[in-house]
Amino acid sequence: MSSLSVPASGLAGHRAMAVIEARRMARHPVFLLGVVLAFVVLGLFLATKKEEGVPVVLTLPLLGAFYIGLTSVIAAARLTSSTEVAAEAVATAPGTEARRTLGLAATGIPAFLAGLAFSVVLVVVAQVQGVAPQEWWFGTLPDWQVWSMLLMCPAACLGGALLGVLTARWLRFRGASAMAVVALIVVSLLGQAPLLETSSSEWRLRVPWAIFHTGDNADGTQTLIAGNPGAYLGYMLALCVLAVLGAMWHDRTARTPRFRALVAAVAATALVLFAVAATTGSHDNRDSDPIPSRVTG
Amino acid sequence: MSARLWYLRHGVAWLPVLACCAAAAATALLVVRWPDVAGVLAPAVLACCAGAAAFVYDEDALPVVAVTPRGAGWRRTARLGVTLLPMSVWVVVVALRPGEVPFVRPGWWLLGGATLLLVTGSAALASRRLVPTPGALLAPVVALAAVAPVTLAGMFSWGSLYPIGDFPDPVRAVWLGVALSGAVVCVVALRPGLRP
Repeated sequence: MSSLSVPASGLAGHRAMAVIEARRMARHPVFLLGVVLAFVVLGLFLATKKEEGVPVVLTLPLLGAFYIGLTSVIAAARLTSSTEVAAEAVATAPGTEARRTLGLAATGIPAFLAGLAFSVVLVVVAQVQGVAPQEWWFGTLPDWQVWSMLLMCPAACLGGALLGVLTARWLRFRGASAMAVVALIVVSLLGQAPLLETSSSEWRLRVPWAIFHTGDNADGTQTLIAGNPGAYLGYMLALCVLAVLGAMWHDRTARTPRFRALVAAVAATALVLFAVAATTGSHDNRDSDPIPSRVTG
Repeated sequence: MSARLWYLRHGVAWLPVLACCAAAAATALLVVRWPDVAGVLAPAVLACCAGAAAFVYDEDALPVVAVTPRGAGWRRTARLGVTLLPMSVWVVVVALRPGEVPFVRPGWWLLGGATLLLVTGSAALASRRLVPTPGALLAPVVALAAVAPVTLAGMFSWGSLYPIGDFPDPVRAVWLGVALSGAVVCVVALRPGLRP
């Protein structure tokens, strides 16, 4: 139990609430389990690989996004729901539900930092162990594209936590977070899998987690999927902001004209970023040069 | 109506159980439309069924009903039967092979049964320890755990835990191990009495 004294209003109050929620998130067992699993699976992958260097390195952020991001959905939803136990008492205190929701958005901070740590570890390991010269990585891709793909991991982890807050604010039935997790997986899969090998693969970027790298093909090549990863990263972050605003929208008193304009502006920004992501960058899927050691068929 | 049926009708949190079963059926329909991605959608169906099983032991008034003369053991045993509902959904989905996906039925029945047994046992164990609504946490965790092996399939040489078209013996051994663990957990959880 935190013993911080929370000022009734102002920036200091927001900061204190955010610190409390971030600490609760950082100590939540489900979140910690997700972080541990992400690093354990990465460690197992690196320990059992049969070749020198790190293979398919740009697919590995998926591990962090999956384990840390999806457990963050559950943990943040639990933390948000837990505040409802004392809803009647809290409602009589100064401050609004929207303000508490904004404080709960800080649950995304530990998730973001964990995802960032995962990406940093990936870069360090790839620098130490090296990668195949044909691999999609620094040298075969512009640096900004590689960094964008790596930073999608912390962005997804942040988004997971914020989706958890959004889910718990709007869906009060038991199992809502379970539904959100399964729905997120199914939507991300069905929104892009049928498009990956078509000429319109860039339209897959509407989903909240899109892949840019297919891993190894049977002929030893790797396919880089079309689209602009930098703009897509911006689109993901815009979705994160929309999740926070959507959760705050639950509080009727927060729906001022200024707030509505803010929601509209962020939604428009997200659409623009999606359009930029889908229409710029690489227009077609690109295959790398074959990596002889990975030819399987 | 027997006492057990009356109790189940009034005591079980049917809304989340049925909602998860409906979600499983809806996801199975997605397999019909997109059989190429059955490798992920079929575990998602299992995740929904496992989520349903996680809610079977939810009982808000647990501290009260746990000390009634009929006993907590009777209550937990009666609720075990509700697991047959998500189990039936899973059995039917695998039997129908949506999208003509070549599931090896005995193997897929085994992996579904093992998962549901372990989830139900875990929920019953939590109930034995006087956790009133274990499903609220257990359901999302098991849903995630059911899909998690999919992320590992392409990365490690040991292959998928959800094989389509063939069901290798090592995979069968893993799921038999899960089933055995589930059976042990159920036996421990269904012993009479409480362990606060």
